[in-house]
Amino acid sequence: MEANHVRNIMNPDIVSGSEIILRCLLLEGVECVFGYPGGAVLYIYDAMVDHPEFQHLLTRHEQGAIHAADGYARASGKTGVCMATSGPGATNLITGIATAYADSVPLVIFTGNVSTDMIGTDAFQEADIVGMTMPVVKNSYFVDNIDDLAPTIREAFHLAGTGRKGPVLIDIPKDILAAKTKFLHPETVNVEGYVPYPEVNLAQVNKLYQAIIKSKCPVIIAGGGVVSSDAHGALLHFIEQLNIPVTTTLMGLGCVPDNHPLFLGMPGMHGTVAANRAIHEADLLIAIGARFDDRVTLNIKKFAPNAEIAHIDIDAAEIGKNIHTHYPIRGDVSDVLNVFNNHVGDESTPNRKPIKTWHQYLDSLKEMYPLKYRQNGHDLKPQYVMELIRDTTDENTIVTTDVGQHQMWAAQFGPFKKNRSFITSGGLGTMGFGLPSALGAQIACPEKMVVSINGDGGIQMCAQELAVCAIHNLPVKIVVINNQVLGMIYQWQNLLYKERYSSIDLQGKPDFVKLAEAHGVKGLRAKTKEEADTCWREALKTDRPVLIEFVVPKEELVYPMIPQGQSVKEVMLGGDSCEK
Amino acid sequence: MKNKSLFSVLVQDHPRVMERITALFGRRGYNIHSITVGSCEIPGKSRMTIVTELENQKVRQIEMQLNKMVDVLNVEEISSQPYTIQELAFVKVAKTVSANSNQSFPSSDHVSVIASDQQHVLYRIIDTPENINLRIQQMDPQQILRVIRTGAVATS
Repeated sequence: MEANHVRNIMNPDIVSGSEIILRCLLLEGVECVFGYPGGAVLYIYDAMVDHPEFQHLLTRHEQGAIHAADGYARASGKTGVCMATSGPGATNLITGIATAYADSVPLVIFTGNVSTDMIGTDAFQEADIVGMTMPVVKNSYFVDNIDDLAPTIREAFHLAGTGRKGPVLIDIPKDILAAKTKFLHPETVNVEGYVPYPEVNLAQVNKLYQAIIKSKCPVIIAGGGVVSSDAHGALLHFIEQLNIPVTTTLMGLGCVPDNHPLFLGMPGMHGTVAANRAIHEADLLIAIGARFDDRVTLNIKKFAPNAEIAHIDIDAAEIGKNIHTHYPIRGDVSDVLNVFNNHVGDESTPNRKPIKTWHQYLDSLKEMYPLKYRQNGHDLKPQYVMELIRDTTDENTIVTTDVGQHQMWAAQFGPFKKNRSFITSGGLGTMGFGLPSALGAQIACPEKMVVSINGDGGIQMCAQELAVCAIHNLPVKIVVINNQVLGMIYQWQNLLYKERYSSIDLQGKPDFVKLAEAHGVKGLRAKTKEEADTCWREALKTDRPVLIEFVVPKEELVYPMIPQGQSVKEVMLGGDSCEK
Repeated sequence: MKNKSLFSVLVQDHPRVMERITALFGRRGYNIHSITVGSCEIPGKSRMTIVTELENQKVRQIEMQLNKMVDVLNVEEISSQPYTIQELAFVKVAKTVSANSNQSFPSSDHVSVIASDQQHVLYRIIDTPENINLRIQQMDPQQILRVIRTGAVATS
């Protein structure tokens, strides 16, 4: 923003609530708001007419708007902003708010509400969105005094984007959007009692360091906290200095280059044998920005049975929540790792000697149990598509996924070498996330290639956003892995429900190529390996949005798999169907 | 093994703070025995007393979860240290002619009659929640018409 312009919007003019919102957003450095207008927020949309510098992206559904804001935030590291009207506009955001909350994504969400004199009267399009979203926001506000508006927005951005990040909701009645007051932008923000970045306890760091020195079989689980804190560089330094093998959760993928010799792959339900066995046999498990989710721990009573647990996390409430912790360290992952790294570099501290047998053992597991699949003839396998994408895109590519089998294949076979290169709904597991999050990521990173990987189920949950890709010429590569069923449901019914299939059939409809073209997106279809190669090459050359449907057999299952509630010993490797 | 846990929580006197806190207990599967809130020595702040029953390992977890809330300024788990706890109860008792039943609470510093007419006596009891339970249990349940309790306030 030009200095003159900043001065102008900082002027203490008498302005409306709507104008205050736009000025505050501009001063927060917001580049784009994802939203959908409606009666209660019309004053804001009216004020936008006088601010052509303000970018608002009109999605086709509020759910699309919030997932797009989410994808924007995850790709850029900035706070995503989303806006919707009262009632149904606001309630349509809830899935997206819960998605962001589960994965600690910084969002500021504006909802309109009915005028203060109508609140509580069950007025047209009135909904208690503050009440409904309470369990899935970091904080929320109902602003019924216009003089509170600017300080509230300032505070909301502060809360959303610091500490353990998360969504913050601001609900504003219509009359407050129209009311006028003098614009005073608070220079500083101070939320009483809120300490986003606590000082790292050196004694705790030292204790853990001693444990690392003593440990013979250490392993690290790096999670979404590393990505969110942009601590990938510090983590790499840490694992290389101390020579500790590392596994990254679904949310942590990308924070360690997937070709790094110390990288074991993803742990958990569909994790690699090497990662899961490393955890099972470790004597010291260091979780960094990871929260011992049940998809990682499976049967927590049998999880890491021989290990002392160290947990580095920004959120004190996560430490000890799911598992007893021997070495708790609260702090921002970057801060803690930097303290470690300075400590380790210190000549007075002994260096840890690499434990050869441990590393050799894990390397042998990696070799013995690589991720693989059976390729018969010209059949197009979903894993082949993932390899194709991996082998033809550079390290700056951002991949977003929907939820289901394709998500796991993407996680297993995907190309993740950089922080923030993999965007997926890990905690809530929200179908419909894949496409809108990709368009948000593309807006955040116009110079990067964005590939959105979806199943034929999830793509239909937010397919309306194809129009947004076309209209704004967002050149997202939209991959649809079409196996004609709800694949992960098929897999569970196949393996765990005695092949009693129920409500999984998606066969035949819609025609995804026509669906794409109906929205102004180029559509391609591949049914064989050869067609896949050709179509994907064409997609890569296309400088506008393109949807590529890869038709794959429904029988393909995600392996390895450890069923819910079981342990690494019960791993299903998929037998000969897994031979490549 | 569940034990009674007491939390003294200093909160911002903001709308819906009570709702946020009770919702936190609810969604994490913890039951609240009683919750009281009122203004305190600091203008703009309130102090709550929450009585709950938790497994030992959950006490610290709920304390951390409470501490994480933006409107919560301080959480003190007071049941692990010496503490004072009191509750106020109104008990409306029917007067009967039966000789066998306990018509009134035994005289005590904790009990006083605050209203009375020909059919009823209204007692005020100020005591620990457990003692209030005991006192009420000792009465003939047939005679007790209404019990109104405030929930406990406690301090370390």
